[in-house]
Amino acid sequence: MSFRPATALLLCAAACGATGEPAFQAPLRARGAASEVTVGAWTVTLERADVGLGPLYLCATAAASSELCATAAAEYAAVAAVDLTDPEPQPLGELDVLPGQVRSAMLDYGVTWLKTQAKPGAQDGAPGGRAARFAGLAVSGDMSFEFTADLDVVPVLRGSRTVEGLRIGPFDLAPGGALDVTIDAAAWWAGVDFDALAALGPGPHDLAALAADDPASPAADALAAVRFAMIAVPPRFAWTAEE
Amino acid sequence: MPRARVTLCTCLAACLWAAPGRASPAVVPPSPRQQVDAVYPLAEARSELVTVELAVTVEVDGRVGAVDVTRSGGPAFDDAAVAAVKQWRFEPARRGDVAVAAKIRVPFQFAPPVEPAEPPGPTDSPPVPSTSPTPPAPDASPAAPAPGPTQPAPSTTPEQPAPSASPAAPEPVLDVAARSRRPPPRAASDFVVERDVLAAPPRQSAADMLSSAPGVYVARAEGEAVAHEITLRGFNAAHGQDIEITAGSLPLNQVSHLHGQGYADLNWIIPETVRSIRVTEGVYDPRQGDFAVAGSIDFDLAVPRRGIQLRSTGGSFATFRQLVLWAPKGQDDETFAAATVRRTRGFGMNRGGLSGMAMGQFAFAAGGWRGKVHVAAYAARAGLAGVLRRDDVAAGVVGFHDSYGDPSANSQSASAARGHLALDLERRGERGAVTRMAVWTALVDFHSRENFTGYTQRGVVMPEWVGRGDLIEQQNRDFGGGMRLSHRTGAWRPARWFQAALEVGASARIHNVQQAQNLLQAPQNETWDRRVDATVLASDVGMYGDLDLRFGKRVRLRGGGRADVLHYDIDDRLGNFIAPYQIESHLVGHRRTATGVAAGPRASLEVAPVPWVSLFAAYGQGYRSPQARQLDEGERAPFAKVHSTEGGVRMSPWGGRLQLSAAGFATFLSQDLAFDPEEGRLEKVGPTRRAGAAVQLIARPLPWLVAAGSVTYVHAVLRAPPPATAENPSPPYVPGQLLPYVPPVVVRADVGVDKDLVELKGRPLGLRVGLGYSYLSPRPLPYGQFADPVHLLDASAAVRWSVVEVGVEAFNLLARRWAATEYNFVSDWGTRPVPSLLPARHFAAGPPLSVMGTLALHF
Repeated sequence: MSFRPATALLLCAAACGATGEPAFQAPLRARGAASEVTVGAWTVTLERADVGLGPLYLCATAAASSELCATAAAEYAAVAAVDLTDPEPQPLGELDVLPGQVRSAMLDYGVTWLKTQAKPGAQDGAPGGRAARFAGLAVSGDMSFEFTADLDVVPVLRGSRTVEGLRIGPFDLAPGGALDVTIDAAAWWAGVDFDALAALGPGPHDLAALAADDPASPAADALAAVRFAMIAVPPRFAWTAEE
Repeated sequence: MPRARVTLCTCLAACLWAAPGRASPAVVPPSPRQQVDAVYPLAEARSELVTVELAVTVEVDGRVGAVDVTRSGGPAFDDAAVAAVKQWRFEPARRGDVAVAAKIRVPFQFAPPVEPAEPPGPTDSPPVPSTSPTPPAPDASPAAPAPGPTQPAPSTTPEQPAPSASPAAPEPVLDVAARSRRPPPRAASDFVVERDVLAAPPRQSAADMLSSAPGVYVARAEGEAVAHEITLRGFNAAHGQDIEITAGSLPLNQVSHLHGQGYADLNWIIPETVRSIRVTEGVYDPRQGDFAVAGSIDFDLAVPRRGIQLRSTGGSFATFRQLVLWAPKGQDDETFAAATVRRTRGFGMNRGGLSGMAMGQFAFAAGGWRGKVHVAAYAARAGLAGVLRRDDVAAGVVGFHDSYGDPSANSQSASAARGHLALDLERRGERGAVTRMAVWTALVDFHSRENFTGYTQRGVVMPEWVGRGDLIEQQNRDFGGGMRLSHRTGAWRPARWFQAALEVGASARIHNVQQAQNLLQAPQNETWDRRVDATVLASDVGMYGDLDLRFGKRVRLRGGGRADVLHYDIDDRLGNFIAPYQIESHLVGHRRTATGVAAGPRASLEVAPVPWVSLFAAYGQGYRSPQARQLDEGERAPFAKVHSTEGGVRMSPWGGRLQLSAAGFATFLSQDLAFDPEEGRLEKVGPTRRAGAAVQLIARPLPWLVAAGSVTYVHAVLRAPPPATAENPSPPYVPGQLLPYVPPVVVRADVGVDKDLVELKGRPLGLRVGLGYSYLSPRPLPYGQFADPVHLLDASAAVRWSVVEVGVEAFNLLARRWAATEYNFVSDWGTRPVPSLLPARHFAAGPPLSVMGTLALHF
């Protein structure tokens, strides 16, 4: 036997055989769902809705959490700003994926409280260093006012994620697919009391500044409602196979 | 093939004394420097002891010259003895400072292959002339040894009188051979690595010597004070979990060790005291006990080259080693004392270490018993660089041989200490009967601080504590003792074509193991979480029977059964832990007991169609005891059981100067273990299957040349790894996956040259050159990754003259950047803004090119 076939045989002997599949990358895209919502008598139009998306982890467990998903099945270990007023898919980068089924997700909105962070902090890529930045117009009959809101949503515990236990799919992740994320920013404002905000005056209202000045103000309540909704109405995920 | 159990007694040169009145100094007889066992001619096997006596001329350069058979044991035995002795090398006889040729008498004793051959005890041999305290008779003068008919008078001593050729001149016998070496092989993959192969390439430790056995890969991934990691024929045995490792009667595996089940630290063994290593790949012998899953390894400790040896070694990375070895001349090879001290700065950050070890053996004979006392002590402490992420190295965040510049990484270290004492007794009877007894006790301490994962852990005791570093502290202190008993009957021969012998034996051991595992916060090493605090009392009582049947001269069937009762009493002081969110309804602590039995048959069939060929078929069941803390109350201790089968051939043509073995094998293990970096210990990965083949070739074509090579291929797969659970939703393994960390192909080659070149001032100037090469194919890793292949070449060269030897040793001569071991898991070392939760390749760097100089004095 010549050297070359012998080498080939040796290499085959070393590598032939079933193994677990190695990781691959898949496109990650995000888009907004709606930019207008009706809240009571108010029609609210978001003119700006930028949110930091990530880090994002997909897990095989039924309820992803920092403790139950120490090893993820797919991840986007970065933060990207998503324009939620744009219904078209926006490419965010590559998702690192291990082949297999995922059933849950956990994520942050650009602001993390890692195990190694003494306090929560915004990651590079978060819009303006915040979790989300909004600007909109609320109209009810002949009344209207403009508002802006830069806010943070942070994990409640050090080492945890802002959104945990999010059920998705299940999806079978395989090479050739892509992950689409849809975020309904308008729905986040559905719980805001715009009548109370209207009582603040004609505007424009910087809700974050108002809340900072008076934690009991309607602005603070509005921000709390949005923060709550960002967790209660999380992003939706869809895996598109054989792209 | 059963090898001749050769009792080697060398008759020293007839210390004939010169004519009265001559002032010539006494002749110091030759002493063997390298011995090769004769191969038992199985086709001519006999039930009685066969003796062949040779008259051997030892030339002035130490080589063997003329060989005459002075007492025949039959043509086959004569040929085997002559072929073996021609491979011997000697320190030549000397008269004063002048080397002289000498003729000596060498009796070979071929013990029946049903029985491990043993040479006569010291009391069976006359005293050694050269070391005998008895002075020569007053009227005797020093003289050259008796030459044979073909031997010329010693050319270097023309002034000496011609030696007496009187056949009546007594030729005292020197018991130069050690005790019986090894029992005959049970299978084609029952290997003995002899001293000449062990000494061929440079070795940094006794564990490194295992690399010369087929299919064995040895790595020291966790520094100088942690046991080596051993891979054997498709088994990643980690620190010993799948290999029963012994040094004679002393078991070296530690039961329920916190760092890894079967942990066996071989660092206490001084490599210069290893005469041979038996590596049995598979489970075919009823004597193989706990941990004999992949097979078993036995170190034979003895020093054939007698005298005092002082060896200093120094070189790369401020490494220094000093050896003092005393092997009293004229005593049994198994009698010696040795001590070493070694220190090194290490080949990268946080790798320095200091160790010291001392060991001694004394072989004796009294009242018809042969005995041996063995004692050893060892202590070591070393820094640990830990593992690195490959992507961090590629990004230039950390150097290949460095450690993370992080307090938790820089606080990694390990220390180990042990002391043990063993006593062996043996009594031989007629027709091969033998009774053996051994008792031993050992205290072994292990303490490590290792961080594999960086900053991923959350406290169990205080869940709000996170990000303090995953520096895992493990402490395991084991005090144990045990005994072994066995008796083999004499051969029973009811017919000319049939004979049988039976051996029954028992072993017992008991261990008290204190163990603790905590998480520490560097650099103050404050304890921030507790994981294990337990005391384990583990005991093992085993019994076996081994029947040896011979049908004619060509067929031999051996086999029997073994059963072990294992008992555990566990005081788990953190058991029934109350989490902070739970109502305290009880006190923490869980005590439990468990007992189980492991039993199984072992058998091997050997057929020798011609004297130099043996065909083997073997089957056996082995077991590994459980990790005690994983047992529940009253549970029948679950054992990992292995079914091992093999077929192969062993050939020793050319008078034994060529040895070839080839085997195909398959093993099925009910429960395998793999390293879990999160806990820093071994965890279950389900049943596994291995199938493969191995070929080994050893050639000794010339007395000064030995070459050995082997190739092993194995296909090892996980059959049913643990499925996804809530606790582990992304398991690293899938059914049918190649077994992680196991190289499918292992290649090894050793070459040794030991030759006297010229004579300088009456003494030979000798050269010794050695090479050792290892290749590992890419090793599968969890999550479908493969480690890089490994090529390693070690080389040494030395010249010797008189009592001095000066040499140089080079390790990793190809200067490869290689990983001693690789993993694939999640870590967070803070080297990126957002930590990844996907498994990443990690590795522990192997040593770079290192060069050592040696200076040895041998008196």
